[in-house]
Amino acid sequence: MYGKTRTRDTGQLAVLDAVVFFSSALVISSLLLYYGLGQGSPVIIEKIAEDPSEILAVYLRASLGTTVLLPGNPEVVVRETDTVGDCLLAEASSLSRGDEPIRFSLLNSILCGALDSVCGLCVNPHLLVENVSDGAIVIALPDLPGEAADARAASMELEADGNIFLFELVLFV
Amino acid sequence: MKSDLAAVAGFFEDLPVLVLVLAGVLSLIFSSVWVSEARSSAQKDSELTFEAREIVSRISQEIKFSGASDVIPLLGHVKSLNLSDCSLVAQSYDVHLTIQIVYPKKELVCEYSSNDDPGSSSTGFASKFLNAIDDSGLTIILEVQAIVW
Repeated sequence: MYGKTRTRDTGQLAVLDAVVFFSSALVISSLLLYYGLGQGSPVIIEKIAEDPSEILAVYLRASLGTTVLLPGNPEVVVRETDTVGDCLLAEASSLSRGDEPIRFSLLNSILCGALDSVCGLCVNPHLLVENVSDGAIVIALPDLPGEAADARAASMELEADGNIFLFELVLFV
Repeated sequence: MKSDLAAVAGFFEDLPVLVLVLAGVLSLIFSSVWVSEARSSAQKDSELTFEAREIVSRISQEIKFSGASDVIPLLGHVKSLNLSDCSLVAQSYDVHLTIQIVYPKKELVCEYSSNDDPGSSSTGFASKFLNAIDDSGLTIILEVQAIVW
């Protein structure tokens, strides 16, 4: 045990140096992993919703695909060949004139289903129709969007009965 | 004998130092290799995604240009497309292509796979939506998807 007592001070210094080196190596490794892997990770919404304006245009041009009877006086039949864009424009015009929103509940549920079919499971879509003249949101499918860290949006203007309506599609992850 | 004891004691005293230094060096090497591999894989994914977008874009153009540019294509024409056509598909990668109806019903229109064995961990994906007119006169929504590996 002679050697142990003789080299105790220098040994402790060496261990201290090694601990400092090990700690520094761990910190550097953590930084490397954090910055190296963090920047390379893909963002889901970029892969899914590359171009929301394309989704909006295709969605508005599609046929409704189902015949819907709108209750009220008079009853209105929406044909399966009518486009989604025409249905939304007619609904927005009616609501702007003061029609009851409940009248369009069945139509809205079909339009929501169509939107979900196009956007898939990973994206949460919201379609808003705004009356440009007074800035009021006339239609919100399925509802008004909340706040989200990552979202993409596209808009398009269409005219009906002298009113210009702004269609906005907001996609959240 | 005296000097031997000192050497043995010195060796055991230096062991913790050796272990700490080795662990530090290994952690640096491991993290560097890991990050390098991940970056390389991300770059490969990015290249494959670009290739997938090119393929989807080419197929979409092929579908759209079946008639005048402002006319919505017919579903019958889409069904007659040959996805394995060399002019549409990249030669240097394996691809899986699908064209499906997403609205008003879900239905597979056509698909093509150049290799059923997904032998790579890196993949690229792209999709594009199009309108088409089906046999009953409805304007449907088609999705063109490409997975490249």
